[in-house]
Amino acid sequence: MHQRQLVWQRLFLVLVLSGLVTLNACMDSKPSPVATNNHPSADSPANRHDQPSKSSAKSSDSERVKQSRAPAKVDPDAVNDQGLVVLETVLTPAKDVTIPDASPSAPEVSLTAPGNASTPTLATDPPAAQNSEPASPTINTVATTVNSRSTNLPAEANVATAEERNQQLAPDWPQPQAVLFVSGQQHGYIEPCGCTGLENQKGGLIRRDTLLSQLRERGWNLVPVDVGNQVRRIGRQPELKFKSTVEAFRKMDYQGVALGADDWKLSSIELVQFAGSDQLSKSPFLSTNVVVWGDPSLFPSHRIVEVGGRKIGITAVLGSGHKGELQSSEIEFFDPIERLKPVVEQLNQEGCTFKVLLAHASLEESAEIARQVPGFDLVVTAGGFGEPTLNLEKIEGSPSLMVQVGTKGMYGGIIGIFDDAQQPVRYQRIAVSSQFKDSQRMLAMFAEYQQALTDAGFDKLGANFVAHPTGRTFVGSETCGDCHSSALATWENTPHFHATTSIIEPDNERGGIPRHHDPECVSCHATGWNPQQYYPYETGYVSPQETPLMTGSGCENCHGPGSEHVAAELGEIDVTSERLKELQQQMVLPLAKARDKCLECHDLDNSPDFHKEGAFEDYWEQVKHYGKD
Amino acid sequence: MIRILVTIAIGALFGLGFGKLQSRLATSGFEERFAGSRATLAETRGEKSKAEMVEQSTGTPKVEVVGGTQFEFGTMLHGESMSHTFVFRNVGDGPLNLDMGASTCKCTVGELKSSVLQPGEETDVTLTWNAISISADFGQSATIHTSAPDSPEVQLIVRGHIADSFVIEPRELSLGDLSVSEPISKTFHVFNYLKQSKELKDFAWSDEKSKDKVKITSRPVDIDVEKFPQHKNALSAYEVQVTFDPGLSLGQVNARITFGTDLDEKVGTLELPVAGRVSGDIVLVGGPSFDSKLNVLRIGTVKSSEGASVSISMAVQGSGRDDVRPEIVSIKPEKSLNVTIGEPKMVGERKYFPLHFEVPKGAPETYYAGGSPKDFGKVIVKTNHEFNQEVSIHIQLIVAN
Repeated sequence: MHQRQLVWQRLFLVLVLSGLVTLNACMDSKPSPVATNNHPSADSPANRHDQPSKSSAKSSDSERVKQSRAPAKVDPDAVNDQGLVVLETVLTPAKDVTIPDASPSAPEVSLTAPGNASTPTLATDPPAAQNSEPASPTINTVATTVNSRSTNLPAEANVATAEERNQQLAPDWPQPQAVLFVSGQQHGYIEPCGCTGLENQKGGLIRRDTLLSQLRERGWNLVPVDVGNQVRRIGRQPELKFKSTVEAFRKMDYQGVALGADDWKLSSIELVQFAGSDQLSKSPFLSTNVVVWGDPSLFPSHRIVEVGGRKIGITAVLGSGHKGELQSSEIEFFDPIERLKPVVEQLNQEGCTFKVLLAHASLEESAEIARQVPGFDLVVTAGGFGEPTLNLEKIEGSPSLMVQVGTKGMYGGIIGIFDDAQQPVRYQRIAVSSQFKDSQRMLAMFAEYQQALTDAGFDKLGANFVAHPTGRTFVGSETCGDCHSSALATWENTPHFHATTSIIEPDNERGGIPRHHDPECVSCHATGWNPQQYYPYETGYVSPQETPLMTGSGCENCHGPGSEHVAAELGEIDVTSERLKELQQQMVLPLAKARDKCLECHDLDNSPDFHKEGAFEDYWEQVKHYGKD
Repeated sequence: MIRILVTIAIGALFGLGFGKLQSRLATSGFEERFAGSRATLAETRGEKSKAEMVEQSTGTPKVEVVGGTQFEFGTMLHGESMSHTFVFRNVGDGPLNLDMGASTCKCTVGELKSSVLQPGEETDVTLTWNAISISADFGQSATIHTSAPDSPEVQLIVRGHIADSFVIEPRELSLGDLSVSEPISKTFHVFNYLKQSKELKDFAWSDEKSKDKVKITSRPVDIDVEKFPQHKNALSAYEVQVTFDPGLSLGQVNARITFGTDLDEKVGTLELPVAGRVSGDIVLVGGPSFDSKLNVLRIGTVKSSEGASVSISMAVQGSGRDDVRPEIVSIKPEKSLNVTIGEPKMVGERKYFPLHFEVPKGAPETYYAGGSPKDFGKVIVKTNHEFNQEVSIHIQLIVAN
């Protein structure tokens, strides 16, 4: 028995010691805390905020652990509408890329990684060179992009990232013979409005002019070209906007401009007066296959620019896919391919050594035209969506290269032409960000545009009064406040209250240019307008003097015109108690429907922050109000 | 005592060995499970990492997106969600590395299941669009970076249209230049996506001044899938005809056509912006040297030794169009300016007569600087038109030696 006890005692001791030493050994190995169950969750901010790559030191075990966890956090439901968050799941940095420790509270890191969007990407780069670099520019570019988008914003929002505000322009380019600057698809966005802070927004002729000036200051032979669609609507205001854009293009010395499908919808008389050519005055606007008034000389088919010892031929077409959009009988459409063939021949005969096609067409049609009409070195296409690609595209079945321009004038691109057999062409995409300061001459032009709107007046701009679909009229927020005083008090402490003042005396750096005669601004900055169609309803805002009760974005912009409700409550009309309640109910905007109403003004262009995940709840907290006192 | 010490020593040795083994297994297991750590696994298992595979491959990868890089969702109802899966295939003879780049859209990009494709292998990328935008059209993209030499990046595109309930095509009605004396008709289409709806009603023209000159009628039509492929899933379609009677006021037309449906409560009022210009039966049009509002042709300063020329057009529309015959009856300055009328050409509803202005070489000195109304030259064109028998063109011209 004693022996048995002894054996059991020894065995017990062995087990206890084994356990203790095992524990000690585990602690000595010092695995990352994430190896335990206490590591941050997959959706923690530490993982949401990817860190920039550095192609230097080798990762520690813990670092490897952190970067390796990304694949575990795929949750499509959690990233609804935030595709970029999901993009993190597929990031696989090269083996010698170090990802610094990320803590849940780590702020976003601004990036200066090589190979980011500001670094030129060579269309003619030998691919092997990319593959031979473990931390390739491609990988870094991906990391940069994902990190910059970690604000949960839809990427189509007009928000400049940190690196887009700190781009280096062609830092390693040798002196080019000529440089093409490509733009297009402005869609009426002649300036970023500043609703969300000018610093955040991209685009605008005011900045584009500065960008072009900086490029010219390098001694470059700059050849700006544009692929069309300066406006997106019809009517007098788009005509005036088109006119201002043409004047800006002249100042920026554009050498070739296509006319887009939306441009062709403008009045032919205005279109030709502003942008056409005649024997005495040459314009950069070109058209090979669309002819107005039967006179092809008004928009010539091509133009030849001689710079840096190069003869650059530029021509422009409208794709067949847009034929159906041409509504005017004064405009004739011809097959783009058949019309282009003789133009290319002529460019060849005239000794052009670089031929550019401005194709206002889809990506597919642009490529097909290049295949069917050989000879173009570069096709600038209006096709594509969102951001332009970082590289020039090679068109399958054609030696031509293709470049996109993006939308809303947010991006431009420079294509250097070099006397270099190895790299005859280089390309860099450029975000037109606040990095490029306001051009004074463009500000003056913009002030003239606003003055032209003022001179025309709302009526001539097509912003004439329309009866509200409900048949009711607007009474103004002060009237609402007679009964809903706490709601009025809340409203008076929100930016909605100052909405009209903010465009009469804008508080941003472009404050010298009021915009309260611009229907596109007023429609969301006053009471009683249709926010998406830019016209007033009857009894809606006209001016602070004529309609003082309609200043600010008032109660009725969300709840609807209140005339009948007010009249019933004040006993001015006889209604039954049921009808009284019905009229009260008509003014109620349920929270479930409020978001859609807010989106009419807080759209992606003017209010990108509103589109962040959970933003509506945050915004609602700032304006929260309920019914009668 | 010695036995106890021996037992402790044995236990310690056993425990130490067991602990180390546990620790190694735990760490290794962790790395494999969570890291997928290429370098670590390559070291421990002798396998190649993704980057190594790509770097050390001798073959050339080539990427093919099965079915193309673009997908058209067609028309989606507001709030609806649709997905499309793009299949990437490596059709080359070396490993293909894929990395997700920028997504420029509100798409949900599904997981890229495999980032290295061996020759012949495939992987999926799914783009999902949630139709919550208030914009009628959408087009969005996502970029995949590849190691294929001929396709360093592949841009995937999805696009379509969002229909709340009814879609109007086109989204704006451009009238162009209307004749003041001739009726003109324009049409647009309305596509219905609501099962309960049977009719459109209460068409109205927003401009009070021209209300009595505008007639709007609608009729159900079959869906023309060839012309409107994006509306192949619509439940019904209507063709709406807008007819403008003669007598509209000259100048710009900026108005809206509004109409309702039998589901007013749900749909509300639909509207279509309309823009155009009403002009007389004879108008002069030209390029930037001609001011069509004032009928002023600015030829500018011309060297007599060089001469100059410029052309404008006289556009004739309306019922008298076919019989109109213009002729030049007066030119000032007569000796410094020649004006001729070219062969007319029909374009749409208008007949265009080219008017050629030429300052001949050796023209005498002339001074019509246009500083005041009397300081212009003048060309008079006479026609046999019932209402527009004479048209004057003011000339700004200086001829200097």
